[in-house]
Amino acid sequence: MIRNAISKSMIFPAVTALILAFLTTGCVTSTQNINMSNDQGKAVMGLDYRDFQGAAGEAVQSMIMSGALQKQGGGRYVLAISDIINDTMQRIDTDQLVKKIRVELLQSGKVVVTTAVSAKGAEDQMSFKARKLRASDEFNQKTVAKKGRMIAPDLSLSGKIIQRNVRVDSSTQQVEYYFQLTLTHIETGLALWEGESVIGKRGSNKSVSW
Amino acid sequence: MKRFYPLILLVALTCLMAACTTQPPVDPRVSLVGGSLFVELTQVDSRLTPEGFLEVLVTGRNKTQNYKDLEYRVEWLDNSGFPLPSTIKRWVRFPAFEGSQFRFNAVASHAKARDFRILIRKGN
Repeated sequence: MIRNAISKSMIFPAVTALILAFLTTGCVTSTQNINMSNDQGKAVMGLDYRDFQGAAGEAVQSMIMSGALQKQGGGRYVLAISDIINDTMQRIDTDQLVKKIRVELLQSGKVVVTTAVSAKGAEDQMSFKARKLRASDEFNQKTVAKKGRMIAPDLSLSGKIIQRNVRVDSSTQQVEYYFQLTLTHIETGLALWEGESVIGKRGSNKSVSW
Repeated sequence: MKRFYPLILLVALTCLMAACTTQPPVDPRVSLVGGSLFVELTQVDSRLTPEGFLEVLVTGRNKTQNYKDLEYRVEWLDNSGFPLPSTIKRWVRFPAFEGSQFRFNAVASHAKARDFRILIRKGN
């Protein structure tokens, strides 16, 4: 009798725990890989990869169609990346936008990007560090980069990402994102190309866009 | 009157068959996907820009009396028919206003692009 009572008192909590465990597992959203070529996922109030892809795509198309990448006399322009300011409420690495543009421009065969000059100094420090080997007897000096071999940039890409929040009504907000880019001819200081992509999102006030 | 029956039947059958015939695509490189969109493609033009980039212009018509959000996706191919890599390959949304003509153009960002494949579908 006592043994039965003990086993019953142990079984009930165990069964309850099992049921609860099953229920909780049932409520958890399973993780899925995003199909990048056919993403049917809902839009988000913040910026996601689709927005960067769209803005970069529009910028590249516009640059190519404008003819601004055609260097007089042939050859390729050397492009330096200047400041791309993130003026949104989100923490954004602006390379999410710039890298896509750089890759496409490089593939266009009209532009080559320098990593030795940028608004924040050399993007790849190795170009300068490797030149310090000129002072080292350990290296064959014929293999060390010579002076005066680096190519200065012809063009500079700068821009800004702006966010504007607008209250539509008590339950709806509108968030506007502006991707503004400028391609400047460094020698003359003239902007050869300028572009703006606007992405607008409207959703619940409860959604956070930062 | 009875002797006209076969003739009437023949005419009716011809009409029915004509209605069922699928129209040949304007350009086999452009496809409508994802069921009935009730849009028709009327023209596909392509050219090389002065800078040597392949550009395509697609024209069509929304046959319905409803506004439609459509999307296109372009794949650029080299002269051997191989797809060219791109970091910005994506579905691009464009509007098709009720009972009106629509058009969109796309330009390859790859100088090696010599051909293309375009898919058009209903927007999300």
